[in-house]
Amino acid sequence: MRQITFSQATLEAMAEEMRKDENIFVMGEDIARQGGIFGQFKGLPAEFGFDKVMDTPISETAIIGACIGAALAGMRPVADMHYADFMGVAMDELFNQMAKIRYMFGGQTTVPMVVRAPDGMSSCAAAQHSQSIESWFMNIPGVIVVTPSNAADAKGLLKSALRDDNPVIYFENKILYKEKGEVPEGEYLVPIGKANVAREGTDITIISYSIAMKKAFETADILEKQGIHAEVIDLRTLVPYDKEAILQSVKKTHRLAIIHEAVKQGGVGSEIAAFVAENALEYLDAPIMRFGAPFTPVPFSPPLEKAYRLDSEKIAKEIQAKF
Amino acid sequence: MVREILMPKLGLTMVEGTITQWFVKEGDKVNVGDRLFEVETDKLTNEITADTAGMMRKILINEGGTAEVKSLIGIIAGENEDISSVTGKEESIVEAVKEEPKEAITFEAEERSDYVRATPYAKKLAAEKRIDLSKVAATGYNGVIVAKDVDALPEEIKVKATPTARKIAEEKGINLQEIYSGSRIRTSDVLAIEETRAKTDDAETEKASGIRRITAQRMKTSWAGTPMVTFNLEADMSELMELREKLKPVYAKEGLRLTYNHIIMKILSKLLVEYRYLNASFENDIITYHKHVNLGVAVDVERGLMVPNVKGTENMSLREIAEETEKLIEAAKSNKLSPDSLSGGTFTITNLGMFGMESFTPIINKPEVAILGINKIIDKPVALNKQVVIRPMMNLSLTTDHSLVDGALSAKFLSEIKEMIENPYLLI
Repeated sequence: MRQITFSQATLEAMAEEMRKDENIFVMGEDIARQGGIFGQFKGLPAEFGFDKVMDTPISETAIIGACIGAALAGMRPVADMHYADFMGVAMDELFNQMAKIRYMFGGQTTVPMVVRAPDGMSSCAAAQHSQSIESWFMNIPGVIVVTPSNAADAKGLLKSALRDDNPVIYFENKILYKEKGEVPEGEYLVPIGKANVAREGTDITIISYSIAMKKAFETADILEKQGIHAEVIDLRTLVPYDKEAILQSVKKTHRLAIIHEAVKQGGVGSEIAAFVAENALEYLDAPIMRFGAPFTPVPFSPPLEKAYRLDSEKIAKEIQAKF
Repeated sequence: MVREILMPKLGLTMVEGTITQWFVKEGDKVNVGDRLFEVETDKLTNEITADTAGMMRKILINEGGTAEVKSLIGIIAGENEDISSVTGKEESIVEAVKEEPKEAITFEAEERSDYVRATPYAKKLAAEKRIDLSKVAATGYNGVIVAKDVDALPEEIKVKATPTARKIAEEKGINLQEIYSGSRIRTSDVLAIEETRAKTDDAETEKASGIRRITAQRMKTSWAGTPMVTFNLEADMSELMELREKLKPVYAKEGLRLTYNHIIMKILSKLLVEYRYLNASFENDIITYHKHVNLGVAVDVERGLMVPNVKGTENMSLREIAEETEKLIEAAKSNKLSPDSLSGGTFTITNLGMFGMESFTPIINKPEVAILGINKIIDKPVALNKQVVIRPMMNLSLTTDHSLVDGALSAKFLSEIKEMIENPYLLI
């Protein structure tokens, strides 16, 4: 199969869906004339014009507010947040309006929009441009949250998001944009709410998503050399997350580790750990382990930033200590 | 009269005590001399009796609880007497307990709780296999029982039995697993087993006494945590016997009975000053060389094993050693030992000669690093100057802690004991 980058995969998903549905349009900062800071919109205006690929002033509030209005009026807008870190500016629009309108009006209308949010650490981007904030939205009923970890999922999940009638936040990792992978041409959908058993194993379940899937695979490789066969699950969707897949795997392996780049405290791992403890405690043969960032802002200093990152050697060591 | 019951100080080194048993409960009438409670320190257990009559109005520290010396643990007063003047203090006690360092609490949990530390999955498997987890050896992280520990045990056999047989077996506490031989178990089989059991299984059980529990705990700790080596060497007792025979009547005039133990203790007192590694303790990578030789003597008393020690024997004459040792043995036998005579020992001797033992492997009395076992004197043919002669021989069994005392040093020490036994004039 052909290999394209994660960034190209999102572009392909946008173009395919925009061709199919004339109600889809996208707006954001520097996306039309510049093509997006990660090139994820390059070439899109050439095919669809500046009416459907719009540059906006620097106001996340305006972008989300306008998209919600358009969605209510029957369009299927896509809002680009430039950096996920900037979503706080439009927080009322996101969690009080976008997430709630369908419920506030008794289901008379839906808000079919996609918020694209590039997240995660790059290199020396410091505390305000490096964050992973997906867990905030795990606590907000009314939004779907997806987190692709590879080019194929980037395409498949974006296409599914564009077709969903609920608001979807699409967290796309900045480092992953350049990663190449096999991506099916044409109609390729990854269902929302279904996890992917990326690697089968028998001794421990490692759950991850987005960029941290790389660490999950590395950890599994190290453990494999020590005779520990890890099962690696890519959550793909955080809201609603695939409870069945998690339980099934934990009941098989009897151990669980969760890895994410976001801060460990109050993170996605906390939710998964609590869910498993509530529903499958008697199947656990070791404490649940969570691996995430320390509870401190992402440092700018290169050595500190390095220390802040997930380290698969350390993760494997800690897991092994529980065997 | 309101009588405050305080945690007694049963020895110079005692800082806290654990109440292992209350013989009275709140509301009970108490007379002078009635047993109130049993208190345990790391050295011994004592029963405390009432010195005041009245009603046991309040018990502040329950069984298993630990309290500092001189702290309030209970109140005896008249039935309707106002005890608020004392219970006011109770609150401050509760406060004080709360402030106890965490470590102490953890220790309590580790040592006393019978909670089995197993993972939830291991527990589930054990329940399915009807395996008693407390008998499963833990190999998991942090000494936790994990699934593979349970898996390692034999598979449960699927027992076929009639419903009535099952019911009776459950009532009588008969494990069908154990009697199943492949054919369906009937009521008559269970009843037959019950009958046999009634005839054979008449063992009694009782909760071990405080002294037994302490001995068990100390022996286990010593055995599990110490690489012990026992060295055996025979000594010719001729000279020592002669020495004793000559001194015996002299000591007897003062009402003192001189034993071989006393003379060997004198020899050890002299040697241990030179062999400081053997008169030492070794804990947490720290070697403590003791200034004094405090010789412990294992005494078999009715209640169990006691090891009081004679302090400062390096400066004692043989007469003093004999006198002090006999005093302690007497006190041990009449249960009047002071806690201080049970702590601070630096070396122990244990004599099984009176039972005819020729050799044994004594267990070190921690934190000491060596113990000398003394055996029976036996007339044996020995080759001396190429002639076989009969000599009174006695075997010495020295156990040392190899983590501090190497084999060569132990051997040298033991051979010097032998030399001094064979030539006791060296003592002068």
